[in-house]
Formats: sequence, C-alpha cells, structure tokens
Amino acid sequence: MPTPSLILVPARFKTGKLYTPYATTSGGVVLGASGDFNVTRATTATRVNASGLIEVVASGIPRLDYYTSGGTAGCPALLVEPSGTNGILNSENTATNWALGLNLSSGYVDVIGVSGNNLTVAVSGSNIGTAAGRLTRANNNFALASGSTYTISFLIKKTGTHTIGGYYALLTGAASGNLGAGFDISGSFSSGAIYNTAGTTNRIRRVEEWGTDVYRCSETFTMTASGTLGFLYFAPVSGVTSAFNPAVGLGIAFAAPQIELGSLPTSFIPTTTASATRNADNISLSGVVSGCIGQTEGTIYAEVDIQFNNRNADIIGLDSGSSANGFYLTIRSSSVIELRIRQNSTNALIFQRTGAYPVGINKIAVSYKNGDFAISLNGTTTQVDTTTITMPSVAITRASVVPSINFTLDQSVRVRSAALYTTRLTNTELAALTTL
Amino acid sequence: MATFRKYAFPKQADADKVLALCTGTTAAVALGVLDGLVCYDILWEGDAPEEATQYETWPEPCGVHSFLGWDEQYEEDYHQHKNL
Repeated sequence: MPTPSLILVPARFKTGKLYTPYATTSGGVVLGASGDFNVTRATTATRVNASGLIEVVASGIPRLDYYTSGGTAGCPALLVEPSGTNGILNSENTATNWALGLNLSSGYVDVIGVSGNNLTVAVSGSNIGTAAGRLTRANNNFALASGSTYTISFLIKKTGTHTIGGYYALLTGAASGNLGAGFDISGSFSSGAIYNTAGTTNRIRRVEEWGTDVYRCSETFTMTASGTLGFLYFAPVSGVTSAFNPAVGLGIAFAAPQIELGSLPTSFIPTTTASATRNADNISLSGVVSGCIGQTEGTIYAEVDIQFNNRNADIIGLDSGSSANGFYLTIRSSSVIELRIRQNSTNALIFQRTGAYPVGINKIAVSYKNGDFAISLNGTTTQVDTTTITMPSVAITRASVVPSINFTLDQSVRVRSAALYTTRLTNTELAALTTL
Repeated sequence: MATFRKYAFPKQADADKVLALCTGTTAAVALGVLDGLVCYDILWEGDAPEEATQYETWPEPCGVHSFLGWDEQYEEDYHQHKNL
C-alpha cells in the first residue's frame, strides 16, 4: 500500500487550527505546521464530550465530538455543521422563564450536561392541552416562513417508569393552529401527531438514543403558510397521539428544546432570553497543500459517521480555490457515493457508486485518473468508470473538509479520519483501505 | 477578529446593499420586521464596513437575537456606544 501524502485524524488542535499529523508533498517535503488545517467558526458551539455530556466549545475551536449512534461516547470525530439558529428561548435551562402548570410538580435534572426539568403529574385529569398540565415557554416569537422546512428537537430523559412525552406549539398568523406530537422512548421509538395544524405538511418524527435513558426527539415539518411560533409546551402524555396525561405520579424530564430552519436537527444551540445563532464550521487549507494533492491522479479517503443518508453533502473537496476546477468526494440525496470532477466550471465527471451506503460509520475512497476512476465503500468490490474526460488543467491548491461547495450542508457530519494519496490506488488497495 | 452588529433598515433594498458586502465567513441572520424596520444581525468576518454604519441599531443587550458566545462583547460595545 502506498504511503498517504496527507493524513488527518482529528485529535490535536488549538484555536483556529486542526493539526495534521502527517503532510508530505510528492517531492518528500514535510509540511509541518504549514500543513495544519485552518478552522473558522466565529461563535461558540456545542459538542458531546468524552463523558457523553453536551458542553460548549469556544469560538474557532474544532469540535471533537464523541457522540456515536446509540448514545454511547465513542471515538472522537470532527463535527462539521452548517449554521443554525435556535428560536426557543431559555433552552439552556427549562426551569428559567418557563411556567409550570398547577397540576404538575417539577425538579432539576441533569440531561447529559443540559439543565432539564423533570415533570411529574401531581393531579390527574389535566393534559398538555390545558395550562395546568404543561410546562410553558411563552413569547418565543419565532417566525416561520411559508414553504420553508423547520425542525423542532428536544431531549427527553426517562426518570421513572413513564416513557411518553410530548410537545405542543401554538402557531399564530396565517398558519394559525396547534402543532404537537408524542414520542415513546420505551424502545419501540413510536411517535405520532397529537395536534395538526393546517399550516404544516410533510411531518416527520424521529427518536434517537443520546445516552443512558436520554433520547433526542425531533419533528420536521414544512410550512404551507407563514406564521409565528409563540408558545411551546412540554408534558408527559399517555400516548403518542393523545394529549391526555398519565396517572398521578408518573413523570418524565425535558431539556434542550430547539427549533431551527432545516430538515434535520443539529447540535444543541443554548439560548437565554434571545434566540441564538451558531455559525458554520469552515475547515480548509490552501496553498502548500497542493503538493499533497495528486494533480492528475490521486485518491481521496474518508471515514465518516453519517446519521442521515438521504442528503447531499461534499465530504472532502480538492479544488482550485473555487468550484471551477476540482475533485470532490460527495454523498448524494439518493444515498449513494459520488466522485465529482469539475473542469472549467462544468461537471466533467459525475460518477456514482451503485447501491446505497448505510447510515452510521462508512469508510469511503474515490480514485481519479483519466479513463480510470474508482469508488470503494466499506471494503466491498470497487466500482470503476473508464470514461475519458477533460481533466482540470489548473493547479489544485485547496483541501476542504465537508465544505459547502457543490452542495449546501444541511446536517451534522462527523469525520473520523481522512487521507490523500497522489496516485490512483489499485482496486485491491482501495478495498483494503476501506475495510471496516 | 469578528464584529457583531445589529442593523435596522427602512427598506429591504437597503438591507440588500449591506448584505451584498457579506463575504467569506460573515454570517447574517434575518430578524424580520421589527417596529416597521427590516432588521438583521450580522457577525462580520472582520471589522464592520463603514457603509453599514448608518443602519446600526443598539437595542439593550442583546435584543431578540445573539450569536453564540457574543453576548458579553455586544454588551461591552453597547455601553461604549451609549457613552459616545
């Protein structure tokens, strides 16, 4: 197996830098610090730390995120996300400025690092549809535009035997109505609509395990009219499609509520009395890295954790500083891997691997050499494309990690490692490289 | 060093002229129409451009929106602005 020209294993960093463990040009020049990737994100952001807790990471610091599917903290990966704005107020603590219904009692509970509110039904007969039976945050005043897609998400923690919780949002404006859903975290992960407003369509609900007895529940919907989300409520409910509370004494905890533009939930954006925006992560290196990039042939490798596989995203981009010329390892909304080559601002090649990639951790390699292109996934048989194209004729001088170049990123991508080779590896080598 | 500024524009067209100055990692967040003005929060990649200064607005910290981690800086800038 040839030696890579660049290896990126997210582990060491400082503000604005992600250290590249190994970067050597084809001429044998070791790049050292000049081979480190630049990291730009002018806001703080959150990650899951090695203990499985959500914590704030300072501005400009790459996020080494330990979240793995199932909620057990695992190996760190570089978390790359688009920008996001959370329109739910006081999300960092659902006891501050949240009103407790008279038929509920509550208590503080830590929900993987976020201040949560453990709601217990003290008086039976109330429900999430009435003020006495729910936890309320009023005056969020989050604008919802007709035709746009939004995602509400929150954490539920099982603090007793009860396993079903629900949210209920009150919309005003042209989309006026009630929007709500219940989520059963007992293991069946069932969910259903409690309330339906005519102002939304295409509702999709999810439950993901984020830790011991902790689950992230989310619902995505598209607005058919404009409106404003004013009140947001939480409460234990008796069924995923029912507003009625369970019997006295049963409870469940809520934390980290969020509403954001987009079709998937992203990392938690803590708010106090104002909505808040997390900027996008930008990770790239220009100039000297050109020596690590195969200009006429080469291989791009990445090990990535992708939780939602029906979305477009550039995973690794090698280009001339813009999308005019370059080589891109991308994933597509049809859940396939793609090698895209751009030449003189046109797509010289779009080679897609036949067959969907699975959700979760994938090892992917794409190789390029005119008339001999290849894609390998998770050690399976390498697929090739022998099309002859016009290759980029300008210097390829920039390497980017999950950039929004061909496609605007709309989900959280976790990169566990990446590597570049200046040669087109053989099919056998590609299969070996990507074996899980 | 990035710069966080809040803007209120009489018309969307005025906002568009300032938004056209947003390059690189500059982030603009539309806040909608507040008190009859088109409002945006912008986290500039560097210094805020002079062309945008006339539209700056200084609500009490931090108004209806903030960028994560910028509350303290905005409050400091707010008091500095009030003392001008």
